[in-house]
Amino acid sequence: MAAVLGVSAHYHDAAAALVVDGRIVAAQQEERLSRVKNDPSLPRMAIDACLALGDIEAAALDRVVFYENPYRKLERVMVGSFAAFPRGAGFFRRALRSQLGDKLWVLDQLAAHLGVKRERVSFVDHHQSHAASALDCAPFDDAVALTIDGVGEQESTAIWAPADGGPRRVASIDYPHSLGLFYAAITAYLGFRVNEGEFKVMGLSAYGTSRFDDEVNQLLRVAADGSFRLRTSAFDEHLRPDRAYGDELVQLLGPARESQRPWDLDSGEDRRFADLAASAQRALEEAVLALGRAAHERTGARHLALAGGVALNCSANARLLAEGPFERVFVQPAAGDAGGALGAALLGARSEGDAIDGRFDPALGVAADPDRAMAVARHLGLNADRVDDPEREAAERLAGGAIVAWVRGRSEWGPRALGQRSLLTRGDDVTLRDVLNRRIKGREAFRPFAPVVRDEHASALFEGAPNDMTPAMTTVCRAMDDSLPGCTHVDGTARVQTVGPEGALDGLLRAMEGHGQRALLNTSLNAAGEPLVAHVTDALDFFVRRKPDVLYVEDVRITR
Amino acid sequence: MRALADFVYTFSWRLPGRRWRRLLAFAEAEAESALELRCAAAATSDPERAALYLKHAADEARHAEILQRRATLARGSAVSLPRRGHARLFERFGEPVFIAYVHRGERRGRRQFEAHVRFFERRDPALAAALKSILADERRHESYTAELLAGPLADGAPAARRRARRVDLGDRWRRVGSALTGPLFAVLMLLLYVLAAPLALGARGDRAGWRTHD
Amino acid sequence: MSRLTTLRELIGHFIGRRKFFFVPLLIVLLVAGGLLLLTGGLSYVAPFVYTLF
Repeated sequence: MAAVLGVSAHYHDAAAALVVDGRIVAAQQEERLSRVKNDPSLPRMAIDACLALGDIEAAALDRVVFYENPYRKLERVMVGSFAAFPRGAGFFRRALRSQLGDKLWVLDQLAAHLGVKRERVSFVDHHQSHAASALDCAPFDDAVALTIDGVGEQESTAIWAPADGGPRRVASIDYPHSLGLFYAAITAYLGFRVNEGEFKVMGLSAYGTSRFDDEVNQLLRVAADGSFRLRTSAFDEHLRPDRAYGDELVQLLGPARESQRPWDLDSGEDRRFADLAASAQRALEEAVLALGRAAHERTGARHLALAGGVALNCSANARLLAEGPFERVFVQPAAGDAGGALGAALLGARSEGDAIDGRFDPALGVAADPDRAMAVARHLGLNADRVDDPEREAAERLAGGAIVAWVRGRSEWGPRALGQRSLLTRGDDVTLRDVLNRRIKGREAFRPFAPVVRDEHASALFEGAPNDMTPAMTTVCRAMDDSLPGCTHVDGTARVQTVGPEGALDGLLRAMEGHGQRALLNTSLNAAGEPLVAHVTDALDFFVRRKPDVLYVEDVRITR
Repeated sequence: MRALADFVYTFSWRLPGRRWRRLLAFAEAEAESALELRCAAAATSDPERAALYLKHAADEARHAEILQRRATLARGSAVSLPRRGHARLFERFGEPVFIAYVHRGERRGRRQFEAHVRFFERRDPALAAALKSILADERRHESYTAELLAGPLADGAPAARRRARRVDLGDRWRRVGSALTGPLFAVLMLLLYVLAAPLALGARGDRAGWRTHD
Repeated sequence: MSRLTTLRELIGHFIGRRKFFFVPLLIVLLVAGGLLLLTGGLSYVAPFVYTLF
């Protein structure tokens, strides 16, 4: 019976998670509270929020677990910069500065922030954290975990079998052979920000035809045993972490895209970039499929649990389920580094002797406070009233073409808005989609939106839905028809969310059915480049700045 | 006195290549201020003050956009705001110190912007007009924070002001210290890198394929 | 004081992995790190402060 806090920090997407007596009590990403997108800094606010949500004092924590080994990380940084001698001098200086000035002391920083003894703070392995988060949250047994990301301490990819003390490593692939590095380099090459623009590459790829397969296959080669090899000389993460690719990649693929220029997919130049995105996406999917087959061959497990940043590639996940050897596939929704905090807490709980309660609901963050929303809204000069039936009323507005900001309960764990902090509108109207993209969210026109639908209608609208991934939108499904053009991507797929009877959007979707609509467009409550909203004040801030038609915080309706 | 202050505040506008960089640095400061204020709005217990902080944050965000646009114009090509961490002032020091700190910053900013407006009035009237619109907001921010310190946050306000001053000075010292030690550290690191390189020759390794664990 | 634990663990790590050649390097690095801790470590620019230069 223990209270364990897990923490990830100092690379990207810092987070905290609290597990009490083997049950996940709270999990919160720091960016949602600090309002700095992908905030990597020590998640002080998230830690405090988790403790408050669990109603527990820091002194009562039995253990605090950091999600990776800071010493091995320092070792890799040093070895990597010497291996690149003499060009690694700049990297050595910058990396050592942040390591010695900050990152190396993370366990002390945690002890100091919490006011607990340093001995109570320990660390686990990066990929094992990912694996634990995937296996312990998966809704099935007889599973193998596959963790794929940029790099942990040393490895970029690993296969894990469940075991009593936490996942057991079966096989692994070492950095710099890394699918995360490969995709990050392509992301930067296409002019997007690394660790953030990867979703954009995936969205863009649907607009292209993969005519650069030969070139991309020279960069990433899949072996017969399911492993893969990068042409490491074309990647330069050590020397230029913000772009990750080297001159050799430019020689192979042509000049990179400058980041500031607006996209015009009718131009030949941008079509070339879309085609490159398509080839890179296809190569990634093939590599992930090969890894899935290798994991199955090595363990014989019937089910697959995924985590690590690459597991956020929902198109690859869809192919794993459709073409891979597994009956079921699950992705821990905060598959990136944030999820490491959850895995670390779960591993800590196991080592304290607790059995893990596998029930998992992603509504693990800070709670919405409608009274406070109403009071602050009135001080902002907005209209704020309680309504008897917010679902019915919101459905009427949505049916009439409104764009509705929707805040319900505790905020989501993972990158997707799942109905707790969502922007909603009709999915059958492309005009509304364009208004949302340009006016409300201010993002590129090629970015797709996702539909949300109740479980019982999912299979009529989308092939293969619902499945283990659709509740947290970690996969894509092919739309049965073109009835939802506002939230179906150009290739006919959609990153559908399915909602069970307990889901935050169940009531609203039922009310929509009275208006002849079985699905809604559901996107995150934030503008481009901002983190998803958590607190109600952030929702109000968004409402004032970006002007959706109405904001509902539980049963409080806010209008201008 | 004012002439001297004006000279100090506006000196670097004259330097080539400095104008757009400085405007961008202003934009960064505004963007970071907006983050601080949004966090303060989430953290304060009082809904009225939460609303004040949100309005203030919206002003700062708008200023950041104006200044970024002006930096782009001054440079002649697009500039984007780098993304940084933030100081978490409210969380670290509590509401009275936070507001005392904000008040200090707004008062100082107001004085500086008065000098900037005077400097650009004839040299670049469009930029002067943009800075003037920001200045108007800063006067408002300066006075509402003073009212808070005299009213609802009056308990312990003198101590809060002193603490804010210490925080401000401490940050300055760390910025100066960091600027001074930066080059020293860089030289030291280069030296170490070269000296240690032979030791680390064995460090090379680029192993592909599966590693199996029993 | 808790930093001593980190130091011990760090040196132990490199010795445990038989990377002895890193140990003298580390000691120099840690001195540099001390310098950094005293003077640096500001991840933010400065809210509410406009640069003079």
